[in-house]
Amino acid sequence: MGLEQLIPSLAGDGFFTTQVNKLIAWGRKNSIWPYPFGTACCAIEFMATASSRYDLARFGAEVVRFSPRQSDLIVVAGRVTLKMMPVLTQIYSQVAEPKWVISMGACASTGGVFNTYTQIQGVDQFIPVDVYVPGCPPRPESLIDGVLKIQQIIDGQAKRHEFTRPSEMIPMEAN
Amino acid sequence: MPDAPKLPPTHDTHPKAARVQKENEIDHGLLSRKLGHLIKSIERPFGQTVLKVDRQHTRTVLETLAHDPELSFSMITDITAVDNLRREDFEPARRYTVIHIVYSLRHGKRLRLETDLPEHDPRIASTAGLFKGGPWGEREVYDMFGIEFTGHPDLRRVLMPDYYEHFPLRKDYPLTGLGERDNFVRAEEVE
Ligand code: SF4
Repeated sequence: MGLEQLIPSLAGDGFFTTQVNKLIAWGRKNSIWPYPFGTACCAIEFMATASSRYDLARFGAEVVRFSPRQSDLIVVAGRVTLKMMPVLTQIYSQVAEPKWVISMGACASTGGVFNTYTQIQGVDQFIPVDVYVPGCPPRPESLIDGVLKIQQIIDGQAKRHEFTRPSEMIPMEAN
Repeated sequence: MPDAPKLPPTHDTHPKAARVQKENEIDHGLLSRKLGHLIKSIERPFGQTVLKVDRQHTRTVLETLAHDPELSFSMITDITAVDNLRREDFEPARRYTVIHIVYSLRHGKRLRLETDLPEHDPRIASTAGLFKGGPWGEREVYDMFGIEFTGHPDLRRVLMPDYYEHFPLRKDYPLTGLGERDNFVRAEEVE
């Protein structure tokens, strides 16, 4: 890998020391396997990001998995409706820890222009979201930036989001 | 002085309009001969033929339209409905209008059938057994408007979840719902 040139002490019988945490984080952040929860037009933009022109593989995230059990990053790309929200919650709980979530686009983050009876007004009310990518749809560059932010979170340079909406904002009682 | 802005062509002024209207022209004499005693009126807005029917005759009219060789409107394009609640001339006896759009593959003509339903008892005969695609559209109309199709083999919701209690396209139901979209269990984060 050319590490010898970068770290002179590795040449010959050389060695270097690090922390296990850091080594694991380094491995994790460069092999993110995204799960595209694509329900609308944003998913098309996700496909563009993953394919050759924008090439998410440059950041180690090219292995798109369609099984939550094999992935560690959920990309919520598109509108989530009343019928899909329980599905999304279930899929979120099926992803093995550690896991991260990107809320991609206006619809997933806030409901977008669809202020209607069936449209969830932001998936962050019900699942934890780490990175919001704004846009309608976000350009592939924005999504790549979102993935880079996730990488920063993974190796500890940035803090994870808590639920960004305080729970008292959310009416939980029936009607 | 600048010229007045040029308006895009409408359904009347578009160069193709006359041709399309002519192609879709249906012999109203034929319709009234076959169905005269069953229908209330025949109208022709924008060159489209619309039959107004009482609900006890809707099924019979559709059967005649589908099976009569001179008509053979054998394909159902769509079944949909309108809630007339906010209309100026609203009256509870005509709260809903169910609309059947049928197409004649043999003659290449399209026809619309409109049936008014009262507010307290929105019920109409199903087209099950007559059009294969009919029951699907009926399920959607039931889901959105709560209109019951008698004789339907499987009248369940199709778009909204089964636990949903309202009929969202009724005009007295608020656009943003009654809080259903805010009531979900949160998936908790494990650290
Ligand atoms: S944010 Fe825009 S592009 Fe993305 S799902 Fe919503 S409407 Fe489609």
